[in-house]
Amino acid sequence: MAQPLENETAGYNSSDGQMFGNASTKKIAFYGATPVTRPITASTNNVSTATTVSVSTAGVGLAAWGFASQVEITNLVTGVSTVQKTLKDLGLMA
Amino acid sequence: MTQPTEYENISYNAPLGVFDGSASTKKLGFYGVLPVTRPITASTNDISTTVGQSTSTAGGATTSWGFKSQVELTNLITAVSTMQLTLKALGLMAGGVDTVITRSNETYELLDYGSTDGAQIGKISTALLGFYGVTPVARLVTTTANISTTTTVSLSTIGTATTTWAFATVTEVAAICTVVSTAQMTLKRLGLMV
Repeated sequence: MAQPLENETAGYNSSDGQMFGNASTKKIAFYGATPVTRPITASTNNVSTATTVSVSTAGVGLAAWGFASQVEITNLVTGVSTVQKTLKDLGLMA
Repeated sequence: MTQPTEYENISYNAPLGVFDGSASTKKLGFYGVLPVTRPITASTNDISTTVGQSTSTAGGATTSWGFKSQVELTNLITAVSTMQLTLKALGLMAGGVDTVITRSNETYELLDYGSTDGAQIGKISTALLGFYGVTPVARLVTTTANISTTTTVSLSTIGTATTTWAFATVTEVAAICTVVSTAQMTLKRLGLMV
């Protein structure tokens, strides 16, 4: 029997969607990584409450643009490291 | 009949790859959150056109390193918050809405059979995967340095500028930009972000 040539689609096209793992304690992985439960269980502060508007009111440094408060830069660094660890643990990033 | 003990693999190994959700309007969810359409539909500016290189030429402040323009800083923050909200909405990061699943709301399909060893999507790093109808791709080969060895402690020693808070070294700025651009490109290629 010939192999199908199109991309395979996981799912039977339910209008309510598709889900991998029915709880945060279930294990999932991509690209051959060992399946893990949800990598980060603690919620992080949102860097911004909207994706197109920054909560950071950038400072007006003469030589560089930075952040107006230490809290903002801490939220950013924590946000980046959390995203990075999540994607690595899941196998989505090397 | 005994349950298989190996990881379950969700695909029949089609040569052109597997994608989940055949369009951005289809719904996906992970780790028990209710499936959603692609969370963020607005495209974000690329932090960098290639991974591993920052478009930001860090400023030369005497006490801290930051960004040369407000646009660069805004692009970075927008990219991070977009990725953060995307992963939360999909259930890949904590902080989204974890709906209690009952028989009455379990109308969506569940794509794993609940193996205690977990489920894999794509068996190796060269497997082709895509979401929301994008053409399946292999994993990016770029490896990024960890910004922090834990998620709650920052590697950055924050500068002490009097007017702005920034980074203590240009290396830290470059590392942040590299990670953000790599993560951004990863999620865009997979179709989880636009």
